[in-house]
Amino acid sequence: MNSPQHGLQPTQQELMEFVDGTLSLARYREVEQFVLQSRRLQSEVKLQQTMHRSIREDTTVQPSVSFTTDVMNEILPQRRYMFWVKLANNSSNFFAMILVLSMIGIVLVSGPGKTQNDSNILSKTVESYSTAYDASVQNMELWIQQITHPVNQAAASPSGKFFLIGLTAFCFVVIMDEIVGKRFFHARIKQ
Amino acid sequence: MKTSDNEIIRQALDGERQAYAELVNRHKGKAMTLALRMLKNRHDAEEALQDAFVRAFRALPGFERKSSFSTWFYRIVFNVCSSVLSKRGDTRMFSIDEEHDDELKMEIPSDDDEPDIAFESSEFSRIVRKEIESMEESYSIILTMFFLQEMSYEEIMEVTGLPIGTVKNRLFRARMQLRNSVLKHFKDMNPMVNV
Repeated sequence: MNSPQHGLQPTQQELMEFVDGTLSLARYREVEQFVLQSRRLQSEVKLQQTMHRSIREDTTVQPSVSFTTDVMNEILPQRRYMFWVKLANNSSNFFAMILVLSMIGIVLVSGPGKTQNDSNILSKTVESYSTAYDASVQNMELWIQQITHPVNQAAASPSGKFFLIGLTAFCFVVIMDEIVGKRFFHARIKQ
Repeated sequence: MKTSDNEIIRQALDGERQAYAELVNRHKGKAMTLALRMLKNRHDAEEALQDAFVRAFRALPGFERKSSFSTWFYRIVFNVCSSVLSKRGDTRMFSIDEEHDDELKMEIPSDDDEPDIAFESSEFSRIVRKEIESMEESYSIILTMFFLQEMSYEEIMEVTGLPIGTVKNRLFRARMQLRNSVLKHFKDMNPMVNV
C-alpha cells in the first residue's frame, strides 16, 4: 500500500530503523504516517520495541568474584614474587603482628597464673637489649600485665587455649594476606 | 564525579597500575557477556576475557584514543575469542556474507500475519533471551553489540572487522530471525494466537 502523500510503504528494514531512530527525519515522518494508519504496522513496531527492550534489560553476565584481582595479579606479577619488598613496605604492620603474636605466645607457653613471671621474662628480654629504654619498658610491662590478664585467664582452660590458638592463626593469615598477597581475603571480603 | 576511562588510562600509563583495576571493574560485565555469547562456555569466556584485559593493558601505550576505550577493548575481546573459536575449528564468525540488499528491502508481512501476542509479559522477555542464546553466534553477538552494548554500525564494524554492509545485513537477519522465532514460539504455545 503506497500513498501519494506519504511516499513508498516502509520496508522491514526501514521499520527497524524507525524503531532505532536512525531514519532521516523526512523519511521518519513518512513512515510515522504509515504506522499511524495501519494496525499491522503498529503491532510490528510494538513487537520490535518490546524485543529491543527485552534485550537491553538483559542483565550482563559477571565473571567470578576474584576476576579483577586475578587480572591485576597477571599485570602486576611482582606482587606475587617480591615478598620481601612487600614486607619491607609494610614493616609497621609486620612488627605490630609480631608483637601481638609474641604476647599471646608468652601467655600460652608459660601457662595460666604466671602473669608476673611472663612480664618478668618479657622485661628481662627487652632490658638485655638496652638499658636506655628502661622507663618505657617499665611502662610497657605494666601495660602488658593489664592486657594479658584476661588472655591469661582465658588460657587457663583447654577450650580457651584452643580459642586463642585459633585466633592467633586467623590473625596471622589475615595480616599476612593483607601485607603480602591480597589474594584470598581481599578478593572475598573487600570487593 | 566518575573518572573518565581516558583519565584512568593516563594514570595507569603514569605508573599507577592499580588504577587499571577500575577499568576492569567498569567493563568486565558487558565484555563477559560478549565473550560468553561468542564462546558459549563460562570457563572459556572468563579465561579469554582475562587474557584480553592483560593484552589491553600491555597495549595501552599504543592506544591512540581514536575510538572509545570500550570499542578498542571489545575489538581485543573479539579477537581473543575469535582465536579460541578458530582453534575449535569454528570459522563462521569471520565469513563475510554475500550482501543481499534485496533482503533489506523485504516487505512487512501482510495483514494476515499481524502479530497479536502479549508483548508486556515477562514470559516474552524470557523467550527473547532464550532465542538469542540458541542463535548462531554470529547473530547473537551482533545483537548483543547493537542492543546491549549500544554500539553503532561503525563501532561494530571496527570491532569485528566486517564491512559495514555485512554488519547491516547480519544485524537485519539476526533481528528477523529473532522476530520470527519469538512469534513462532508464541504460536506453538497457543495455536489460537494469530501470528
